[in-house]
Amino acid sequence: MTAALLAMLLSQAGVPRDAAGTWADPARTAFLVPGSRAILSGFSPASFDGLQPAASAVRFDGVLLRLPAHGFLGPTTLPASWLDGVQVSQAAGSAEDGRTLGRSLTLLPRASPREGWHGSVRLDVLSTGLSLSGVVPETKTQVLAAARFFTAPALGASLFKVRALLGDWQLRVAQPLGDGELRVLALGAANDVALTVSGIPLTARIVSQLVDARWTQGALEVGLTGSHDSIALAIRGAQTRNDVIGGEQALTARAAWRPMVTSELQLSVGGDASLRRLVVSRATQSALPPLPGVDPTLASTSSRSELGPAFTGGVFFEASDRAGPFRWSAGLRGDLWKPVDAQAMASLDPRIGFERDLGDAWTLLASAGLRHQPASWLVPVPVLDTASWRFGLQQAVVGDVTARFRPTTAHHLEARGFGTSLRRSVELSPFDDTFLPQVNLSAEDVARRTGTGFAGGGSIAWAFTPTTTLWVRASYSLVSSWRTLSITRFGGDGLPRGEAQATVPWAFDQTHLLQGATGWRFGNGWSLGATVTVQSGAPLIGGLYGQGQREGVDAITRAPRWVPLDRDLVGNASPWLRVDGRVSKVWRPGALELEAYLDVQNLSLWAQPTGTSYGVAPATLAEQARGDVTLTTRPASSPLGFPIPVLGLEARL
Amino acid sequence: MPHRLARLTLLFGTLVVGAAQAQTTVLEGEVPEDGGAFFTVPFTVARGTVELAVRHDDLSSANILDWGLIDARGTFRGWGGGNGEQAVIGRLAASRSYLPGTLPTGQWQVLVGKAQLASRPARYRVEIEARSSPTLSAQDRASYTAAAPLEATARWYAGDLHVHSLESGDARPGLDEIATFTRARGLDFVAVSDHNTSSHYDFISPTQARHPKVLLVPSVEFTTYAGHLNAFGASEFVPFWLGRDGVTLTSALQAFDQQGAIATINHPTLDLGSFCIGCAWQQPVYPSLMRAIEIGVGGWDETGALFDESAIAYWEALADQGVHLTAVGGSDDHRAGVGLNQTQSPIGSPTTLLYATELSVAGLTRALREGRAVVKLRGPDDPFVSLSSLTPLPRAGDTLVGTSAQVLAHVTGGEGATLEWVENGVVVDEVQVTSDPFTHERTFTVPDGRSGRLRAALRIGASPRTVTSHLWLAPDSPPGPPITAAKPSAKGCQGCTSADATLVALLSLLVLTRRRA
Repeated sequence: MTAALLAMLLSQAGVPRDAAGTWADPARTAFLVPGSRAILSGFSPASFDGLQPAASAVRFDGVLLRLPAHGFLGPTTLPASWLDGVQVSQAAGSAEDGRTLGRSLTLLPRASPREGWHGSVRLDVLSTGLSLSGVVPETKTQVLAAARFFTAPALGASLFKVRALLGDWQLRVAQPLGDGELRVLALGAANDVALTVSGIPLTARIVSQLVDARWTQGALEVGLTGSHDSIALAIRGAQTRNDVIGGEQALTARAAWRPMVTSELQLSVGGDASLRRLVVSRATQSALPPLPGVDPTLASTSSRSELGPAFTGGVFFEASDRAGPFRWSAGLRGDLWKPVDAQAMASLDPRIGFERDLGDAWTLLASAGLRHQPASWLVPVPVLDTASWRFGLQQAVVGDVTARFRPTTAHHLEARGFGTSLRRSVELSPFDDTFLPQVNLSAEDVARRTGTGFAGGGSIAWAFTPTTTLWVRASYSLVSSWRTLSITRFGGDGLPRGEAQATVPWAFDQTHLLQGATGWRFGNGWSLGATVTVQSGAPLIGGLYGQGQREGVDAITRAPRWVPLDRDLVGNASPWLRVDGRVSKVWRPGALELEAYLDVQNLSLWAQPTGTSYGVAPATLAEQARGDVTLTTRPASSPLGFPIPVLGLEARL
Repeated sequence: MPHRLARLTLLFGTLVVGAAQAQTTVLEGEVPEDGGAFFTVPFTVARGTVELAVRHDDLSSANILDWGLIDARGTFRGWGGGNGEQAVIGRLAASRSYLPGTLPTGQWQVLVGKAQLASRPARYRVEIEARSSPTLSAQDRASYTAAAPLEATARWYAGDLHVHSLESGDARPGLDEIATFTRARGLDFVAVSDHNTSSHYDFISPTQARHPKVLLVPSVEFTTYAGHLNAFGASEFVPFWLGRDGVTLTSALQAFDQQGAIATINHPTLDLGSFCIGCAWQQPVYPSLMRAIEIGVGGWDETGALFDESAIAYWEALADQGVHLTAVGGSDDHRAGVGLNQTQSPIGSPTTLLYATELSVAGLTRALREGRAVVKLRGPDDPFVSLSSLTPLPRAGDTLVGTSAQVLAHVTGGEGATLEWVENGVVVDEVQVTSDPFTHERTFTVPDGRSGRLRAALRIGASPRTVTSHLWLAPDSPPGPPITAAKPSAKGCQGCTSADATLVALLSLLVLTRRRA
């Protein structure tokens, strides 16, 4: 069952494109979904229902996107001109949807022209992109092609001493053949970043490429996907150079058969199988020191580790009745993972869902199921994700209930409650202070970082669309998320005093989120939009948001110092508010459509609070020597405390 | 130096602190651009002074200055490096990194090291408080005397050759904590190698008496801004201010050698800019005065995954040039295993095993000199491999005198591992370890008139675990010119990378804790 509030809220014609604060990117309307939130304001991707963003798979045109956001946290890797919005599944989702704990995102494609050739050029302060679409009349071949280059990082080079080249390209060709259709989709995204950290030049290159071929005929669909993702890092020191390249190649075959058994009952049966090969290459060079009578030389190493193949596969069966006042679906999927150099793992996920119309205005929806996912790393990270299969599966029992009230065609009201019981969680993060040990987990380490937990909450949402030119959306959501796992207890000197099992608030816990968005299209081509977001602060458990501190005493100098709070005793960051605005003007000279737009994120100039910066007040050396030290605090916040104006021009023909 | 003095702005003030009469002198000035890596700030100690407190500030978040003291007789009185707290020196006690004793009147010097000058002009501020009554209580110090052998058995002794106590400005643990943690990891010895000071020597003998099961070895990390080396077994101070007062690297190495200490190149490829100042070795190598090199740069799971392979290649490249260095490992622990972050290794990670006739400083230094060392890159639980010659050849140090030898590798705890034979830096054979214990023989031959070297290594899966030192073979003693070996090569490290570990180890550079020299 995929009926969800979002479809009603956001996928009405034009709404996602007019939403303010999205950088003119329809995919970023995911942040307007009740129950979702950003890791940090302005950063992709979204977190849903108190789980890591990595718990939500992102799909486009039936294909899983391995790198949905540039640089993991940046803009979407698909062009805005291809998208009409985003749809989010219910908690349990379909049995076809597997290997993640959370709700899935489907990027909705924009309708393709049925005849002729059309193009668009988009130029804004973020990126420059071209898109071409059309139909070859003789063969009825549909073609979509796009490419984009990000110009904003060039500005960043002078502002932040960071050089970055980002880009992506896409090609989609669909060819009717007899009763069926062959569709080929090719996607690519590249990120090059160079910066200097403490005098050490560091470069990183992340590339993701994918080619998918799909054949559909009637109820049958078969597909084959080949992908190559790589992460390359290079560090050049004064005497040495280190290069590491991690690559992952995957070949996935899938098949599904979705026949209508009766006019109401549909079956879905299918499966997929994927082989993955990981290759890590490493090279080092070190200049040898001067040695009498010896020419200068280099000590070098190079190694290439080929790991694989890793295998994953799954089968699913689902029956659904999508007609009448009582609609239901029931399904079962089974998955198998075979990590490199580790034992195979298997899971069985039952899913059910139903929708029940109660009169003309009320509908009740519910879903429940079991979901599994290997250990996750905050956001999807190719190579690392597959290598982390050996840390075992996470398991969650999920469920949600939604009541929908539609008294008129203009008013939509929904209330949703959800609960996710994490029977086993291994949620890792590059931002944790135990990052490196997490990668080399021993059995004891796995046990220490494995927890249980719960995420639950609810939302109320209202959509008001009185005319085709005005829309209003408002929602409130509460997400509470906590984990029970091993934590470190700290003494008054800041040193660890031992480990203890404790229940701690999780990064996406205690989030009250109130959001309002509106858009108004005037008859003269002008349109206005605004979005207001009020959000409570995240728990300060360390990592992404910093860890709360308390006053302690330095063991050596006996002077006051800040020492970490135990993670079950921390508070939350301050709440914050963000106002985004959008104005656009459309001209239509002949067949050409020109749109100028200005989308400004964070008109409120309010950076998301990330906790507290702990310091020491200036003191004379004599005062310091006497231990006469005053500890200070000041609020810490995300670096994005300034407005992000996306001023652009799009021409469509 | 008059020209430096001319740059000083002398501020003067007198403060009365509590009941103790104290006179405070404030010296503030500009860091001289010339004169090498060190400069001094002179000040006068007057008669009646029984305790000195020296506070310092580099007046910049971008610049890093290191601090020490030399008294009126030219005697070294301590080096706090980047200590944040004041240095206090009295007759019977001193703050960490500093040495107590009489306070001779006359001109003392604050010795300042230019660790990092990123913002110019760089300035400094020093406040010297001369006290007429002491504030520190007497301390339990004693001149270092070598302990009697803790054990008189000839066997492999496990230990850590690179550990810091709170006498290093960037470290926290006392020697009792170090000894306790070392013992808890099942090690037999630990070398206390604080940065450029000798204050820790005073605490070794009293602590040794309380920990009779763990040998505390005096050492020092001779910390320059272009390389660090340990002097294993050194128990007397050696000046480190290269380029000043006639101090050179060779003079320092000779001084260590005269003490019988083993000079070890530390973390030779730890090239992290200001994250770790001067950590990569950029100084010349003096083969006759240097005996060992760290190939285990922290535990494999912490920093070793990133730096061990390049350090091994570095070692092999030096060996290609005929430089005989014993392979060792050092955790570089600054916390006695407590409260470590993701890049800090606990004592024992890595572990170095030395084959000695007794557990004493003399026994261990002899083992190092003879190249009888094996490094367990992760820690004490790694499998073990040792080499011995089945051919009765005379041995001089790490060298068998002859042209051919039958060498036996003896593996324990290594079932399932892969034994690699490495000749002259190149892996020449790989053998599956199928039992515990396990032995494997190899005939090692060198062409007439040439020398060569052989070592063994163990890996489990793709991860290297254990590396022996070189066993050299030469027709004469001392060894002849090296044979021309293949470059210290890719082949030598083929497959010894754990994919995700190395990938993310590199990422971890972004979050490495900034370390002072």
